[in-house]
Amino acid sequence: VDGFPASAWVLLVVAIVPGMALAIWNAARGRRGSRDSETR
Amino acid sequence: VAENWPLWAVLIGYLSILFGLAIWSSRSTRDLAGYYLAGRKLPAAVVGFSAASTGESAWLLLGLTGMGYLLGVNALWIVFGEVLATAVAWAFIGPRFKALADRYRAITVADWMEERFGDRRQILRILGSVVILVMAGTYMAAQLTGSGKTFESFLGIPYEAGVILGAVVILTYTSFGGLKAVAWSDLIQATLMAAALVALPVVAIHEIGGLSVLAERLASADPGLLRPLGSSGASTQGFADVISHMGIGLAFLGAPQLLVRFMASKDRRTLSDGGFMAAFVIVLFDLGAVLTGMAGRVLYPQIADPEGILPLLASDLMPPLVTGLFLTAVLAAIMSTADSVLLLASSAVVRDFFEKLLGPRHRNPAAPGLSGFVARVTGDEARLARFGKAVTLVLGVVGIGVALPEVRVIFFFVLFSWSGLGCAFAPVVILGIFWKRMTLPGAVAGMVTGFLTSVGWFLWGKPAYFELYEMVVGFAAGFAAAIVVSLLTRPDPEGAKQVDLAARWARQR
Repeated sequence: VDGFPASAWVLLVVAIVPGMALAIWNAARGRRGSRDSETR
Repeated sequence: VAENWPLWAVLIGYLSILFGLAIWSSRSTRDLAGYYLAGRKLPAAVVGFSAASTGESAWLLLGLTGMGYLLGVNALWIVFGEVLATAVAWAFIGPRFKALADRYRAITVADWMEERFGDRRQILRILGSVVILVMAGTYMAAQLTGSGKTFESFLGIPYEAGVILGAVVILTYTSFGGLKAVAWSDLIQATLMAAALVALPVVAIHEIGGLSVLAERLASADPGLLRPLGSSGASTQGFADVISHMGIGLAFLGAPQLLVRFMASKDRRTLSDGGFMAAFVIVLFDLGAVLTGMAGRVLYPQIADPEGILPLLASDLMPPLVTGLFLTAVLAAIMSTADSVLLLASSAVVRDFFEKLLGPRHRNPAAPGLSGFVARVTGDEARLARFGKAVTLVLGVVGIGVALPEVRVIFFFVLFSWSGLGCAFAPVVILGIFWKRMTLPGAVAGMVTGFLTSVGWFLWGKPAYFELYEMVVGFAAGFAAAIVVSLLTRPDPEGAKQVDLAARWARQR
């Protein structure tokens, strides 16, 4: 793709996706948590 | 000055905003928690951006772009390590650390450690504040050196004037406004840095003729630039490089200047939102820096110093007013780190040394000399906060004194001050949060071993063992020493209770 070898694109995905996925999961968890404590 | 007026205009605008922030923040610095922790009221965007820009110093704009230039795709392992470590820290370490910090009313990381490990003799406080004072002090002095060089290269003013100008600005808003001014200024500084690092590679790659031309020309320069394992390939050296690059992010797990951001956050929810913002900003920072370096390699295949690639690209590809923004972006990277480590050093002197170590031993305000002075200052919270501002000022002036002669030895120190701070604190704090069997002697052993190993490895081990990065080795040694010594000493039931409580509070709030 676009002249870069596939392994370079795989590394790009590896560099970003695990960290961002964890950060998004944690943000969603925080929002759920604060909604729960409001309704409690 | 006349020919550089757009640069000066942007610069003066930026500095006015910083001074405005100092005045606005100074009203909420009447006690120590207000001064050093912004009253524990910082919102998510501020703590997130502040943690990201404090962690990334001038190294991001000058050093990481240089690594993109030299290594190409291989430098993406740095992005992997930094983004993942940031996300792990905010998701798992931050909530538990903050739960205990709030409970202890901790203002410094040393407060936290003393309570968590029941350290009545204050060994961890003494060790921790010495490490912070030495490492943060040299770290700041080196950032001031960076300020002198930046002014020199962009505006052509003398090095000494650049050091003093940078220091006066940092000192003014840090000493008057405390962490509130530091963290809010970080929000602006991080935005500037991200804008610069997104705009520059886009313009540079457009100039080259697109991504495919970039790839083609990198491959013809050196095929290793497009390989994830770099020029060394699947060899011991290749894997050691990958581990070293990933290891740069380790300090994001628990360097004290980042733990302070957890303590200063408003609440639990702030940590989860702030963590997302910190990780997102670091993706923009790091990817932008690596791509800038790769594009620079194609546009300027032969430059003497790859770390000068960003200023070179900015002044060649951008109109003068925008070049001014790049000057402020480099200054922003310098200032957002220097202000935080300066405040950290100040808190080590005022809270750890003066209030907590000397304070209990000197209680008579009428006593003559230093003893009476300590009693008068530590006996009154408002006076202590004013003393904190004075100490910040004095430490900054000492920093100017160290930076002015432009001694080479400073660079020698700054290379391991980031890893020294990380290795001394992160293993102890992480185990202290998650491991019930951890003991005080284990904590002391972990701190001393982590710190000394990172320094010793940098000096003696690195050249002999594939240039493996000192933080990776220091972290491993710190964890190992803390675990072994804890297992050899008597269990601490009170400490185990703290671990349970941290887990419960972190879930509840």
